[in-house]
Amino acid sequence: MSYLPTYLPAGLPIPVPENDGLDKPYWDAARKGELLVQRCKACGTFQWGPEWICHKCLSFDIDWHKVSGKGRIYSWERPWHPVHPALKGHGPYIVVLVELPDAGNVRMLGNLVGDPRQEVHIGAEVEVVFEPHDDAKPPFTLVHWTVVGPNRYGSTPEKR
Amino acid sequence: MSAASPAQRYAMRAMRFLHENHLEPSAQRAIALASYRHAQANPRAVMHGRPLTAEAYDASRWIVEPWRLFDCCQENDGAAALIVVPAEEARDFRQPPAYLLGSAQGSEYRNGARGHNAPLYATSSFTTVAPQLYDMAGVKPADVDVVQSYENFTGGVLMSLVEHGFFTAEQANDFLTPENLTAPGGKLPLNTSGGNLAECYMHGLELQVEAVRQLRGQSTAQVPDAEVSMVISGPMVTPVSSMILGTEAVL
Repeated sequence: MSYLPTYLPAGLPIPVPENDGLDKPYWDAARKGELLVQRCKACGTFQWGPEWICHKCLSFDIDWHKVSGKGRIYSWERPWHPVHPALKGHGPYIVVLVELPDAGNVRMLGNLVGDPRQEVHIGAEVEVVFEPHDDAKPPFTLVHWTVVGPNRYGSTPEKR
Repeated sequence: MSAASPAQRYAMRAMRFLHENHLEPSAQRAIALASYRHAQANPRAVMHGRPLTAEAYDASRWIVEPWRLFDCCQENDGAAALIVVPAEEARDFRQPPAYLLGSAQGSEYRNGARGHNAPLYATSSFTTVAPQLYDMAGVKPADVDVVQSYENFTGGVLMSLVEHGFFTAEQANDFLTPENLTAPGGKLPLNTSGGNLAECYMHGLELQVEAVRQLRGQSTAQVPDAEVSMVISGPMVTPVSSMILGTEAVL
């Protein structure tokens, strides 16, 4: 199967860290091929997305924690209607909500790479895929997901 | 690019709910079909004269799976108004008043957590609000004669009706039929003006106005002798709210 160099076509808005710097460690780590979530130093609670305080114990002392990049699909959807001009004529793609069992089951949103018409199963095991955009200004790396195992790039239903 | 529009943001919640409860596409479809049926009786409805069949629903394009075109609300310009006055003053008005029996607003613990991390995720966010609403109003789900439930998307209505206790998630496949949701004879007449899907999209006032019409006997899809009329507002956000109105007879 052939691939674009990126999961979605060029021309979409590029992600940059917020001005307050809260999520900058996540984006910096993704550039290096590492996946980080927050973890409270005081009570150990995992947290995503980034916040200034721990939602559990309200401590301000929060650290960043590298996770394995293994997860499972908690929910998913397949957008067809293009909500950005760059997606016009592109066809469907898949967005997954992935929970991370080794990080308190925090959930992360991302795209599921492979056949955009593949069957998607809630509970399926997935692992992280990094998609670098080195030529972007500034450069960034997107965090995607792929199904683990023989259907790594997705099984295709006979018709859809 | 992920969850970049309202439909994409909320479809993720609905997909999880549909999965957890083994719900069939017909459950969401029934909500759309009931709205379109009611719109055919309402000359003010944008979709008046444009009926929807199950076949046309099934053939319509996906916006974002699990939602097709007819699962999504319209966009309109327009206006609606309510006049709210003390009950004793309302008796002097020309139109029969609708009395506010109860209203509640809120959501569950961390319902608005960032990045789809609400602990209870597959929800319309009414699990704590609905019990408070019924307590305040002094009525039970079985006392409600007619319901207006905000349809940004059909899946949100489905969860809202479950969380307001009209049926359980396990019963949803059987309960959600166009017949059960259509006035005058349905078990739970729903969105009797055509609602956001088929009348128009007047945000937070359209359904409230229709709830009042039902109590005055002025709906174009009138439920006979409606005494208790519920409005459930926008689901799946934080916080959410709902209210129950009644005629003078139920005070």
